[in-house]
Amino acid sequence: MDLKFTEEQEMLRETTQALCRDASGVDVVRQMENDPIGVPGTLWRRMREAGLMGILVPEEHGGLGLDLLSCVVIYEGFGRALAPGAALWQCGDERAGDREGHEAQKKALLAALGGGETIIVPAWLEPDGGYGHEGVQLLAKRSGDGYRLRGVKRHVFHAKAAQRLLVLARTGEGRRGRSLPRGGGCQRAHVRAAEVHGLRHRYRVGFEEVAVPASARVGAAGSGWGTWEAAMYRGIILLAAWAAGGRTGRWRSQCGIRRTASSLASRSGAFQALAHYMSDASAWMRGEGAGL
Amino acid sequence: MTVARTSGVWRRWRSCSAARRFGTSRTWRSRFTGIGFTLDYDIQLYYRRAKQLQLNWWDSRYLEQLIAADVLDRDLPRTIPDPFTV
Repeated sequence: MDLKFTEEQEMLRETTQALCRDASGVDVVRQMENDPIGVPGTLWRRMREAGLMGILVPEEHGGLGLDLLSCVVIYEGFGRALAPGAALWQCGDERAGDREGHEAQKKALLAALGGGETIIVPAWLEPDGGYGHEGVQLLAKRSGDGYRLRGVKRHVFHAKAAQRLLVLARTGEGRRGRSLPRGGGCQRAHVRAAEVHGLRHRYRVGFEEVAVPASARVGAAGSGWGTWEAAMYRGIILLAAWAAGGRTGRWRSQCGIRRTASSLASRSGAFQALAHYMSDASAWMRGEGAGL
Repeated sequence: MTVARTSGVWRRWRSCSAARRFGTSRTWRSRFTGIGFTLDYDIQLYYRRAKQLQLNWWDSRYLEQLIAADVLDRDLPRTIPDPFTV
């Protein structure tokens, strides 16, 4: 079995790392922590120029159409630099749109996502709802040619930066997911900041009889949860890559502190043990635990 | 000392008397420093992102449920001996 990365994948890794080094330093990450929008302009522009917004979008829809392993390489680079922005959540939307959207919808949705012109973020979790389909209780009532949404979504990242939300809703008889435009028929969606873990770009979104046209629904009626779950099964691979990159970044940061920080007139690394489960995992995987 | 306000440490810190705060601060600074969650160091950025991913995108318990369902609820023959019948 050949476990080596291809030349193209190594090139993607270098591109991502160079991009993050230039446009996503620690100063940018810290700045975005307190930013209500949370999407750094320079990084976003550079990602668009490098074509990294459409890595999962098929080539016929204007994306790069990369395989999952190549995407893993890119997301690991983002995780290492803790690259801020909505790109992390786009992967699920891209998969959902590619899997279930009808042809015209697929063309519009994927082209917008791949080009980076449109930010679509998922609105999935609900208060006390859990991660399964039972947790989706936001109601979508049939009303004329569309639906009216009523309920609350929480932990919606970058909701203020997004032009559209991918909302998981329940019709009563089935489980659905649909793309909902912010603005237009969506004036009654209240976006409220919900700062948790110090991040200012995480929001709680309330829906009060928000009108959505039936054409905005992603996929066939009743297929929403299946679409979302399939997208998640692929998305968590990229999230894991992002976390693995973060683990490497943390391990480096930790070692740097131990070498440089001093306390009681000696290097803290000389007498102080540092521990974090992700760094420990990194050390264990590298077989360097004894050397720490 | 700057402590992430969402941490339990911050809550305990606020409930301490001034004398104890001073003593604790000195102890932390000089011996333990708490660099995993103080905002002065960059490591807290990684810690909070790790926690954020864990809480928002299928936590450990839900993933274990998925794995258990995949392994135990299938009708296929067992790949390991059943420990309750051996």
